[in-house]
Amino acid sequence: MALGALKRHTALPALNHDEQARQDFVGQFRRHLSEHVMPGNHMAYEKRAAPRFKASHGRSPVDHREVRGVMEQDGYYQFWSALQRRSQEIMWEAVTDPVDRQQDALIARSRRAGLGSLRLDPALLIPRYQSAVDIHLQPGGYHTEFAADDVSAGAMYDQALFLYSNGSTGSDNGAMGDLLVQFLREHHGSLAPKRILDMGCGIGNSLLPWSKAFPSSQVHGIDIGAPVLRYAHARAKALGYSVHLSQQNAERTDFEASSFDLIVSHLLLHETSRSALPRILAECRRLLRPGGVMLHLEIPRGDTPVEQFFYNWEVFNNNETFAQFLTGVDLATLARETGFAAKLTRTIRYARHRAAGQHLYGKTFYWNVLTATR
Amino acid sequence: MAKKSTTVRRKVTSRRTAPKTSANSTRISRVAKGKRPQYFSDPAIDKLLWMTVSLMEELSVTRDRLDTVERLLERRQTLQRSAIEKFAPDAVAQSERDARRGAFVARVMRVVQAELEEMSRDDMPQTTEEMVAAVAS
Repeated sequence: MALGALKRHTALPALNHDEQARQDFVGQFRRHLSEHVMPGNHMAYEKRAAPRFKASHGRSPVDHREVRGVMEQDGYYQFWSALQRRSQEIMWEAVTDPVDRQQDALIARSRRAGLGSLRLDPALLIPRYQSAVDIHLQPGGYHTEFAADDVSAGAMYDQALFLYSNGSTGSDNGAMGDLLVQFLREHHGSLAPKRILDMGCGIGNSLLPWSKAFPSSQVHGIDIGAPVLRYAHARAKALGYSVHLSQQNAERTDFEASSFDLIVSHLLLHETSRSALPRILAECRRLLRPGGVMLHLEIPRGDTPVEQFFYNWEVFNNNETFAQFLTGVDLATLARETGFAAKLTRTIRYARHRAAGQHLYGKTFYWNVLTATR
Repeated sequence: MAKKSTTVRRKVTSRRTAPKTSANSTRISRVAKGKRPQYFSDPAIDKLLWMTVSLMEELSVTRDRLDTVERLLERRQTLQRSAIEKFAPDAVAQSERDARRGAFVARVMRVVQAELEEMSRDDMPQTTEEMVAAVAS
């Protein structure tokens, strides 16, 4: 399977020879780890770690914490783990270099008025769950500005997402949005949304597929990070889309109650916090009109203690700190607790699209979709 | 090929856009906020693995660049890549190449040599205290 290439557009930084070669290496290296090194961890567990645990405890590990305790002593796991961590670090290095080199030009280009609208709020408080550590090791996260009117975080993320997913997010990084559009058509086929909100839209990679699928609708995206939103605006323009972006916290927005037909998010919930997550779901409920639908695409957290341990590698090694609290948690239960009707609220496993970068943690890869009708 | 086509035209870079060279001249952070896990019993192993992966990356980049140079030369009919495969160095070239390769191997393997020397030399101080004592009076 060829890695393919990210479709170049004018918001992206250009790559010189060595920058391209560096990114090619990162992609190849990560794919090698994913296909040829990571699977050995299952064997290391079966042949060495599990018997060792059984010898000392007289039983098998009962949860992911016990699996982690014994696996962290295994040499094969240690080595893979250290390499996987390093691969994530060099991925960010490789996408940061070209942005750093062209930062002024990228900012200047983004300043030219685009389609739709961009509304920033310099007074917005960046929540602690975003500022405490740099999630998935992106230096500065989504919010840090390394220059006035910075777009760097967005330009870095656009390139990194493609590398991270081994190209499975598609040449326009839109595969997750496309997938959720498909889900909507299968499960809520009669809904014809006029007003759509994407929470935690980042660079808008999953937002634009909604605009493409429903061209006559008004599409809004919010995020806490100004640099990703400026970039999202420039990117939408480069790709010919008109969307409305604003810098807001999904826990409490300034939109009017009952003003959206559809609210979506793509990998937002696991990057929040224990207190923020219920508030975000409650805000969805406030913003949806009666009969409106919310869809949240999430990464599963594993079905067995071993799978849960592997998914939680990201927690302890990739700064996906909050994700551990979602182990064994049903998102639909949380949604019901915020007032969504039990009958209309479900978590559904959906697997139209495989994420090559992640599918080896469990036996098969699927996405979780939290779906609820107001 | 005409002679002038082999002249490389230099791009003039202004001071402002000149490539950043020092390790600290970048504007965007290269380090993520958060505690980096320690993977091995000795933190030096973590550092060595860090360096090893970076070296792999740079070697891969260099090979790609060499490949580009070869292909460009071939496209300009300065070189046929099959000639590289068939190339047989003459005696002088061979001995220069052997010497360079030998030095390269020795340089990388010096870590082993250093330990051997430490063991074999009678005048080698065995502790840092011994070294300090030698110059203390």
